[in-house]
Amino acid sequence: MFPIMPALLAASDLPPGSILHFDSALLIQMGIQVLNIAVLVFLLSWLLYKPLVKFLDARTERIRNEMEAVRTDRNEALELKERYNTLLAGIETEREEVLHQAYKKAMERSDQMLFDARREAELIFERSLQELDVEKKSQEEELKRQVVEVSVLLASKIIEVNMDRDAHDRLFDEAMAEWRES
Amino acid sequence: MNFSNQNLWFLFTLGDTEIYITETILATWIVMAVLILFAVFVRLRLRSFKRVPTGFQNIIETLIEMMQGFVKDNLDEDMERHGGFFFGLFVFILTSNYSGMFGLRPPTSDLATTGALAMMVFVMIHGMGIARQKGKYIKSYIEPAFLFLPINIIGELAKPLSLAFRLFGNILSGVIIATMIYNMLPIVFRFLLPDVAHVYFDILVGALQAYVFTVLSMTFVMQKSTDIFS
Repeated sequence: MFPIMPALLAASDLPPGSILHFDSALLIQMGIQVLNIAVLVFLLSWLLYKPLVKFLDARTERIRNEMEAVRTDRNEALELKERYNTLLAGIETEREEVLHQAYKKAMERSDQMLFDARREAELIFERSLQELDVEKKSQEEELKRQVVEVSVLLASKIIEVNMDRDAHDRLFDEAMAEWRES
Repeated sequence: MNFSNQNLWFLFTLGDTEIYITETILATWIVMAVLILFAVFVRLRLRSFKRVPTGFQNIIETLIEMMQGFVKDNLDEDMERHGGFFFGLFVFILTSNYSGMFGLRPPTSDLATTGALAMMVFVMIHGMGIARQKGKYIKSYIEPAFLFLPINIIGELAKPLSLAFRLFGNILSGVIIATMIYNMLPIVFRFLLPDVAHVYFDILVGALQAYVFTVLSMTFVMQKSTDIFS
């Protein structure tokens, strides 16, 4: 202790104090100190301790609530994530199924188109053959008719015989009949 | 060398007893003024306290959380609302013990102060005991047998006496030793060498005694408020 107060009051004519005295003055001074300390304790508690404890408790409560909210949000997010993962897994399966079906359908369609095209080609080919055959027969018929006609003309010239129309037609018909038979 | 608690001003006479404003009372008022101003300052700053503490707010929060730790460790949930009382005692004792470093005679180096503190704790112990234990409070004096009544009464009276004399003795011894050191040293050395004594007697012993007084008070209050025989 750096004794400043006794130095300031050295000239005082009051009776000297004591270190320890058990008398009525001690009790009265104790009473004064009880008052002093009671006032101080009340003021410190009222001004400092209680408001600060309230502030700290409120902050603790706020942080606890926020932590709880964060925990709830996290759980919700995990649930959503799980749900989305399930959905995504379902979508993946569905996508594969759709692709498979599409592929299958495309393949069927492709096969059908090939089959149709081939059949069409065969039909065209057959029709062409038939047309060719008809044309061939028609040409043969025409050729025979012309050959017969030329032959008749030639024959008529050669034998120099006047032949009427009836004889001409009869000879023609006979020649055609022979031709057909041949 | 004068270790006595000097009378500063005459106050009044009560019967044959002259009452003075002593160094202790003046120092108590100074300590009170400092603490009340500090409390008002903190109370005003509380409005601007942030959610994430920094600087000064950290110091205040550490102090309050330390006190809450004492309270939670030594009192039950119902008693925690009296934390302000113990906080006031702790802060007053600590500041009083440290006031020696600022040229004051520590108020706790006077039996009137430590006796007043012990008296308040005594009232708290038995007030809480009666309030919480009711009939069991009286019964606790004859536990575990009626024969123990005198011992129990002496034990209860010894608690505040031990609190008062422990604090008084420790702080007064520091004052005496520090005063002796100041008086032994030449004036030129009085600003450096006594620092070692201040660090030990004021800072270490001061904090330790404030802690011991507060924690013992809480323990005594809790003991008397709890039915330990049931």
